[in-house]
Amino acid sequence: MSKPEIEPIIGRYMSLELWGAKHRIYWEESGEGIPLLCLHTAGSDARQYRALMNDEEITRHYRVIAFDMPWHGKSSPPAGWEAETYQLTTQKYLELILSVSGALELDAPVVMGCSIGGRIVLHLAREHPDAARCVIGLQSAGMVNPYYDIDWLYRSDVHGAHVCAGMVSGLIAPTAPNAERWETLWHYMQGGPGIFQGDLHFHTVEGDIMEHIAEIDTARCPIYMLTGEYDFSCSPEMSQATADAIEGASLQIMEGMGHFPMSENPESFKRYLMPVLEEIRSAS
Amino acid sequence: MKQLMDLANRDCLAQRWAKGAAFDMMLRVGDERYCIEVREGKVTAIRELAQKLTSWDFAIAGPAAAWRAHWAPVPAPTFHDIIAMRTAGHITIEGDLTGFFANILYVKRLLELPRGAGWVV
Repeated sequence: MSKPEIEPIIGRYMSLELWGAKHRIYWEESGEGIPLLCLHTAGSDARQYRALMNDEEITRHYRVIAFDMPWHGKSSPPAGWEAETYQLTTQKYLELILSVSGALELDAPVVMGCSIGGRIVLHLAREHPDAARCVIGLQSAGMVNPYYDIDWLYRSDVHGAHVCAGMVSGLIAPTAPNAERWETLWHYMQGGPGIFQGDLHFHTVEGDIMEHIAEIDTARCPIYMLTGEYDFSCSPEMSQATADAIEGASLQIMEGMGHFPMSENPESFKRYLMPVLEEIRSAS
Repeated sequence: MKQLMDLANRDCLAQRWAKGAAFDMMLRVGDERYCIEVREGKVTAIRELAQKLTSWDFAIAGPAAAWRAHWAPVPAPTFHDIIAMRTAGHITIEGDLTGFFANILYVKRLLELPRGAGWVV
């Protein structure tokens, strides 16, 4: 019998006053060094960053932290949720990130987010440039192309697990390894009813930042952007238009990658992420 | 096109996501139109449609070139997924979409099956 492999990731809970209620937030972390606070995509959870947290080349220099947003993963919704409709907004999302960062006493973290996380780091850089050493936007764009009616994600006559996974399955590159593809989709199948849709309220309805994008000062908060070529939700063209509007932002298009680089193809993603992490470390 | 029935009904992944699926899907590949009938998670008939009036639940339609690109061994960006193709304007998806969204994993798999099966359109 082979010896079991115990991973270095540690998971814990914290109680936090947030959005006017008491929340129990779950987070995982691994490594030591510069805090790297990771934000998962809409409708998923922090498991997306598992490969990064298990990568010694990264955790040797970075304390990688990923938390489940409230109503996601192991962060249960607050008491009374059964009569509440979950809906994420820009200000709620910023409050969440600042609260978790504060609770963990993170000193000038690198904040890296994907999709909705890639959008909110732009808001963070604009509104709270001193809260982060820099931000990394994965599949990041200041605007969205609403290519379907998000009401389909939560209906009595359509199974939520099927439709949530089915709507994001095409955002994964066809070259992604099968195991990672389906694990990424499994996370979507485990989301609570209406939660993916509630996240997309921020992404598709409320959180467009293009009107204020030029206000971002990359001298105070540098911005790195990495976008997969197969993503049609946050396409390379949308990321390029966003990067073009921010003086000093850098953008790299990732070949053979879709919307979930850290979970759909962590090995390939590392080729693009490591140079960014090395540059940040050199500058720190 | 008849091969699709065998491919779908034998494919483990298609069957995994076909539970209870029941719909009539019109598929147009260039000038050719087919009605794919699915009942209880199995393709029960694939009929070539003539010009006569016919009904279906939803229709997925595109030029042969778009399907050829979708069925390439490694499809290019915007051709790799039917929602991607629809978003890019390569194909249309229309009709009563309840059956489409309720069975989206199955429908996607069904329409991917010709990939690697050596189909020429």
